[in-house]
Amino acid sequence: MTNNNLRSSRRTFIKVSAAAGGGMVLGFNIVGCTTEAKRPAFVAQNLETPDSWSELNGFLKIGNNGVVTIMNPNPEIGQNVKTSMPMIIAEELDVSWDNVIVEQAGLDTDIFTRQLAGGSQSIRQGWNDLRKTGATARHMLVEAAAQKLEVPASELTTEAGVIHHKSSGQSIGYGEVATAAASLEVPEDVPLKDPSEFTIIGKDTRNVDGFKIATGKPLFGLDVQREGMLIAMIEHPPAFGMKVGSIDATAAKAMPGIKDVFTINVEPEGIQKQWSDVNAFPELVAIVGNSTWEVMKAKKALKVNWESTSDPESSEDHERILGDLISKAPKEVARLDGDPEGAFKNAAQVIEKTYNAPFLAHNTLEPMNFFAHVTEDKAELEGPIQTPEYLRPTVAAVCGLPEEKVSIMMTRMGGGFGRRLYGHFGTEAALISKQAKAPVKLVYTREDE
Amino acid sequence: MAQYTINVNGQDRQVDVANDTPLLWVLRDSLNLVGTKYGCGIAQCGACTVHLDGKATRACTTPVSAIGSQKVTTIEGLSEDGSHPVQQAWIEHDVPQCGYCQAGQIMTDASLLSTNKNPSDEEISNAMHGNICRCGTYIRIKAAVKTAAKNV
Repeated sequence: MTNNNLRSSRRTFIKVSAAAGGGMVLGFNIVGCTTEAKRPAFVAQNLETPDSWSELNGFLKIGNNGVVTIMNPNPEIGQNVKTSMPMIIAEELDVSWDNVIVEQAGLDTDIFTRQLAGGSQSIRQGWNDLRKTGATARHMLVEAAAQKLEVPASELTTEAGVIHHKSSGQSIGYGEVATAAASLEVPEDVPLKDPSEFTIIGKDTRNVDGFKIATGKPLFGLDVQREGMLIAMIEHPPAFGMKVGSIDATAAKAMPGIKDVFTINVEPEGIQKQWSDVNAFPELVAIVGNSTWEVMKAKKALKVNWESTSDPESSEDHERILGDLISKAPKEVARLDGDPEGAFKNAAQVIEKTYNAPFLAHNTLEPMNFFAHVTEDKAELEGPIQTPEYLRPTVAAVCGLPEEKVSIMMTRMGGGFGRRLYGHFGTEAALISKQAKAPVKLVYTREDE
Repeated sequence: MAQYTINVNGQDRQVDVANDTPLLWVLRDSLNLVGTKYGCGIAQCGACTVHLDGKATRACTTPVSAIGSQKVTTIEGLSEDGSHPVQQAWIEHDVPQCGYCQAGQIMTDASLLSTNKNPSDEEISNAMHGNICRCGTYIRIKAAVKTAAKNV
């Protein structure tokens, strides 16, 4: 009977979990034991907007109603850090994940470290700092509650955004002490949870952008729209080992909607290149106009004579060079399990085969693109980039601006796979905006890839 | 430039564009409906899939002049609130990785299920094979198609 009651109460329970892994309300409404379970209904996240926010640190702010906003520091390329990194903070902060709004942070090296998507390192490298960030904020909230309730902080416990004083039966929400907590001194070393206490980390949690993706909301770089924004495309040489020669843009410039055609160079003399400034074609022709289709058509009407700078490279060359490098490279055993030599020797049959793969494009489904608005005194960029920390100094250098005058906002990326480690398209967008004296969204065609 | 009136997500919309402008760029640039994605521009990847009179169509190779009175439905108009069974199944199975192809995947599946409420594995593969997911979420896509099929 007890068991039956338990089941019944669980089954009739209506759970409103607002941010259930992703800005959505997950509602179970399963009535009775005999009926088929209805499907859960997913709706847009609908948390009540607080009257005021208190910022406890650059990663998070708490509303007076207890709603928590957590910033995702790193670029999201589909590896799901926009969900998993805030989960780590939420865990140590000890809030209900349902009560969390996740926002994407822009580049801010004063607050965040290693804002980079690459090498599968976001969680491994971020783990300690994210936990400490959440735990430090929790500690400050508890301290503020201790002062308000006039009890020792050591007698307080937290659970899902509420601070409890067990012996007196008093409880206080994070939202009620957030302002006071924000004015406290930030403690140096705070204890972290024992992993056995985790309630968010390790739990299957849906993508925070899942609802927005399924309903077609603007999330990606290509979706960026601004007042007065022009569209730009580039034309690059048809093969490695070529550069821009002479240009005949007469027909292209006369086409409807076309504003200008000019060349840009992302590697002007004297610029110190970084590892991420990898680009086969630093000099490009840029076409700027009102709409994507008009610019696409003008791009086709453009006549460029390409000059050879070296013998054109071929796939055969690449294979030969790669073969040479492999055969000459020092070889070492990276890992040895068991006795492979012995196993081969005693095998009934040994099949030997060599596989080669040609030079391949990463083929992110979202073509390269970037928004830039460069003026006399600042540059504002927004787009899909795995390495915003490395894009900024390059943009600053080519635009002749101090680094602190260059801002970069990261959008969700339609795939990265390492292609977006090399942010030349961001630099190109900045140079095009500077020359066109307008906010510009640079869009690559699939063929430009 | 020419004036066109096209019905998008139940509303008549007027646009002033060249007659060869693909529906994709009318949606994205003229109407600010950016849920429909640009992936290849040559009807090879499926990211731009919309419905014309309910049938899955590649918007990137459909000129605005060819639409006429056909009703255009985009991901934004598939449902008002994300409640379409295909959208719900996609969220339930947490299908996306990067998410860029998924509007097209959802539109293709919604079109399939509107005419075939109980597709076999082979029918699902045949209907969905033109929608490329570079992240490789095909297993979850198939699971979501099956869940959606039970609920349309």
